[in-house]
Amino acid sequence: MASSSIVVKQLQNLHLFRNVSAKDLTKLIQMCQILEFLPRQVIFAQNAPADHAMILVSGKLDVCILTGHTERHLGTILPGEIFGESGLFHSGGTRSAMVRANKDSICLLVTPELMRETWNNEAIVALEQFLIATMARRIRNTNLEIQKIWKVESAEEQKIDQKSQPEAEQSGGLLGKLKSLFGGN
Amino acid sequence: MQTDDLRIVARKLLRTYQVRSTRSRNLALALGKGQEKLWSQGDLICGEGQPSDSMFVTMEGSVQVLKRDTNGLEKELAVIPAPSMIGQMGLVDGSSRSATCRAASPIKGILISKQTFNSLLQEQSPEGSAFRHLLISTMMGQLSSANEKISGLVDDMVEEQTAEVPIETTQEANKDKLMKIAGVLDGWEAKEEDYDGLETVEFVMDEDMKRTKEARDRTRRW
Repeated sequence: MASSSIVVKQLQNLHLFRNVSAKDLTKLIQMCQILEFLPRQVIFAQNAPADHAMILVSGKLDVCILTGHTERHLGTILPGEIFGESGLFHSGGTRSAMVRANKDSICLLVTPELMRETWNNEAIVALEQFLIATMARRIRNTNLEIQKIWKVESAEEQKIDQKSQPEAEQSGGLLGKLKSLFGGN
Repeated sequence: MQTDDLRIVARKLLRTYQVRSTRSRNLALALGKGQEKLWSQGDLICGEGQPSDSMFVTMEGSVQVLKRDTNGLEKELAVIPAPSMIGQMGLVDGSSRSATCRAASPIKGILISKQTFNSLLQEQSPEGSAFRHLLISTMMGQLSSANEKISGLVDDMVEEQTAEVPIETTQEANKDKLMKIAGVLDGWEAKEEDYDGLETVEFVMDEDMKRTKEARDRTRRW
């Protein structure tokens, strides 16, 4: 079991908590559960109820999505990232993807109760600010990606007029680009 | 502003944006830091392209959201009933107003200045926490709604491919759907029919790209 002082030191090294005092980080880990995972251990199962979030303190996690019998790797979670955050604010949701440990990993369990009750801790304020920034970035990036697809699609549309249809279909088209960005078979 | 009025609005906002992690009492305290404002029908609340220097919470009345097309004509994107939050994205990422908002009816609302907004984002208080939770929930809603729509679009396109519908028939419709998703990401969730007549999609996209780029260049604070 990882000792509290080691976890506090690891948290201090995270960009997310760079301005948070050791005192408030110590308080945070007294209120949160520290969880350790072995390689290949599943942390969130796809479609499981989403009722809490986690912060990866150390290690590395894989995010995968299962469609039928096929597993698709969506990305990697590195220390300092929060994941499963929709479970903190919206009730009744489910996990859209599976999260699995890639190597020995330590996570902090963050519950809605913790967020609700703990307003007087710098670490929680930092976490909320981080989430606002993350959401804003995701919204802008998604918007930008949609616009990129749009632009490319419009340019390719002009080419289609000069090309044979099968050739144009081979290039993937709008559907191919959406799938490569957002997943799907 | 009356505390009871604020409490009712706070409760409705928490329900509208499905926030379960905070109390209406605390959100009412946050809203109380804003300034009460009244708009008559037709009044301009904020204009597309203008700098974002405040956000608004409507308590009574409806807001008409408009966007200019290539001919310079304002097209209606949505009519949003109270209670709602307007203009918060610009304060978060420093971008300018993505659309024009006018009072569709007499409106009673709260103006939250940039200074108050930034202070609520930073302060260790129950009201600061409640405000941040509302903001996070709103943005999560925008993202998940857009993701659902993208997923629906991909499904529709797969069906269209299987049904061998001619590409020309569906291309325009699919691109139109993408534009609507971009609108959802900006927080302008509207009924399908509200988008009818918004033909000049490319201009809207150009403006949004420009705005995004400007915002990224300007703000590195996050």
